[in-house]
Amino acid sequence: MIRLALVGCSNVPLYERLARRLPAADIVAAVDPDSSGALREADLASCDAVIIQSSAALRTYLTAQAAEARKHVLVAPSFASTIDDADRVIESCREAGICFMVGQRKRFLPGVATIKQSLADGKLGALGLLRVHRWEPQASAGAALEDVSFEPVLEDLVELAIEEVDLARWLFGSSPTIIHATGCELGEGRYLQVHFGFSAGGMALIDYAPILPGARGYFSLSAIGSSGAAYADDHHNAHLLFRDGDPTALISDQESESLRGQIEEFIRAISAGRAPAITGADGRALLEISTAIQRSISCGSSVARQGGSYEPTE
Amino acid sequence: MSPPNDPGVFRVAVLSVVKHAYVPLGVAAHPRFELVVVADDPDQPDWVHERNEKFAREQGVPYVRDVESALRDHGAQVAVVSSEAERHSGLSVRAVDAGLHVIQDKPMSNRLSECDRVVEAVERKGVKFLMWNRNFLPALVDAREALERGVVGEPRAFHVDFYFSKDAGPPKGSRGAGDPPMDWLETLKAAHVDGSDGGVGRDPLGELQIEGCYPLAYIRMLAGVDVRRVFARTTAHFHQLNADNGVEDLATVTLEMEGGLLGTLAIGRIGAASHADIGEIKLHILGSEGGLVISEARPEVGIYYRGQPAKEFRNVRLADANSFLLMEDFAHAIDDDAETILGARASRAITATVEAAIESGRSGRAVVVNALD
Repeated sequence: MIRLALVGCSNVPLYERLARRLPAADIVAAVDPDSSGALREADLASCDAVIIQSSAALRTYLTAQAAEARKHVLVAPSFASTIDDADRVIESCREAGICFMVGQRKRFLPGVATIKQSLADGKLGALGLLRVHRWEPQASAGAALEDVSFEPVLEDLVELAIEEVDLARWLFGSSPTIIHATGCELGEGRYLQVHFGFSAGGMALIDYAPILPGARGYFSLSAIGSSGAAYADDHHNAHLLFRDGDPTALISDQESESLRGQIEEFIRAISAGRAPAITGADGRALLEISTAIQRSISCGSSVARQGGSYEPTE
Repeated sequence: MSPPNDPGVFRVAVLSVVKHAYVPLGVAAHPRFELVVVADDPDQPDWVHERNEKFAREQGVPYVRDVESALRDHGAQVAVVSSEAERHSGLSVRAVDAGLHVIQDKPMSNRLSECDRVVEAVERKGVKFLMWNRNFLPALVDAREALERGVVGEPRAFHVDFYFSKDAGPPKGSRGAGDPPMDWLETLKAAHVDGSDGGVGRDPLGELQIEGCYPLAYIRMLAGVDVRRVFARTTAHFHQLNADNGVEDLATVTLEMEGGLLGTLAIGRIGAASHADIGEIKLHILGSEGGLVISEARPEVGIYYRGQPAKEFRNVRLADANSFLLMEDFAHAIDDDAETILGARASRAITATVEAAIESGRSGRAVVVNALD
């Protein structure tokens, strides 16, 4: 039985419910870092693995601390803010011989996982186009950034959209060769739009907006291949509620299932002594792409891969 | 030509109808428009004359192998142009110079310079121009009315997915070693049987040119502004025909519009296997206070039965008054000297956006749209 400690997780009851469906794991603690941003030795001693959901500013240190204590780590995306920090964390985890997994919950959405399997099975042929829309409530985006006032700049949106960026890299099997990103003000918030080109002609469009009213977001993914296509769309999976005024949509929840799938992969990788589905190297690559997205926004032009970096095309 | 405020019937000359005939048929279905002649230039190849003659016969009107004579001798007040795209603008200009209002199939042209000729002629003669479009489909009417009611606040981002699940011949990679490249014109002529011949002509056309007008017209109508700059990715991903002729069948375009509005277009002829019906066509619109998701095909009804042919669409579109409403709009424009829903300048702007996207796809750089002064 693998003993899990939750670090900085905001929805502990959800994790506990999901853990009951994971026979090889048990949640033994839910802790927060101390005032210095570190975990107490007693907390680390009580577990075999940690799931780190703390703010981005603390993730690098907490991951390194857990690795030093020989604890397996599942950390939320953006575990480092620089390539050097990412490399140090990856190396420390490798030296410790632990399982180091970067969280990317979208990969484990049932619809997305099914599409990935269809691609792997050859049903869709060569992927040509990926289109992702993700709109989420302002409140949940603010919680993700741990910023109750939440007046995000575009850089914040790049961090918040990292899971969609990962989906594009994962489904195409490589990092983009060219990026054009832009954004604008939207109400009291911001809106991000990213355009990728991949080698062999593949392309992806991602738009992200944390501005929706209410508590429910919207996610839509279309994957167009050379011999087939797949559509995972909340629009298709909505029920109708008639009550006051115009009908409203009730969208079936897949988010909790995606979290369960992610934890299950972490547990399986630990048990089997293998690399997890999403490694530190994947996280490092996403950091490179995020940096390139921000550069495209700031310079107002597309950026293209040249050697080990992305450079403006104009 | 009838005076602008005469609520009578407009006599219509059809100038070439070599591809799908839905434009002249849509015109003819409105009670204020009457087809009186079909015409084309005498030096056109036999297959063009054959198709024109067939249409004229079906409509019970004469076919004349002389455009200027037809425009002069049959009292036509309106011309409908449905030739190959490379001849669209030339025929339109000739009709305009003869004093006729013009309804033209899309695209406006495959050359921006030709579009400029149409704009100049239309404005010089003071006639009305309509490029055929789908802006009166029920879903687009719903979208426009919703935005006008302010359901999403101030709209700022507009996205259209426009995937046609149609084949365009054999899949990419199917040409055998030593086989010649597929001939664009001959292949598109053969596609006439199922109406998939929108790109017929000597000049190969990619999906941005063949179908891009429709989704870009949606965005232009809903956003109310022109596109200023684009970044695009284009490729021949599905069909050997497109690969052999150097034109895309898949494209994505980032649209940077006036006033800081943003948008994207994803368009492709993705193959018959890739959707249960004609294709996935959707609009996503974000505003300051919310978002709107529109399925362009709705309303529709699902029909399933034993022995149903595999190629028969299971969902049938309903309440589609697009053709009638386009012609109502055109009649109103003539009667009341108003703008049409998609006139010459707007059509030219769309063509310029397409041209910029094609250039961006080739160069890998963002391209400023060539705006008309």
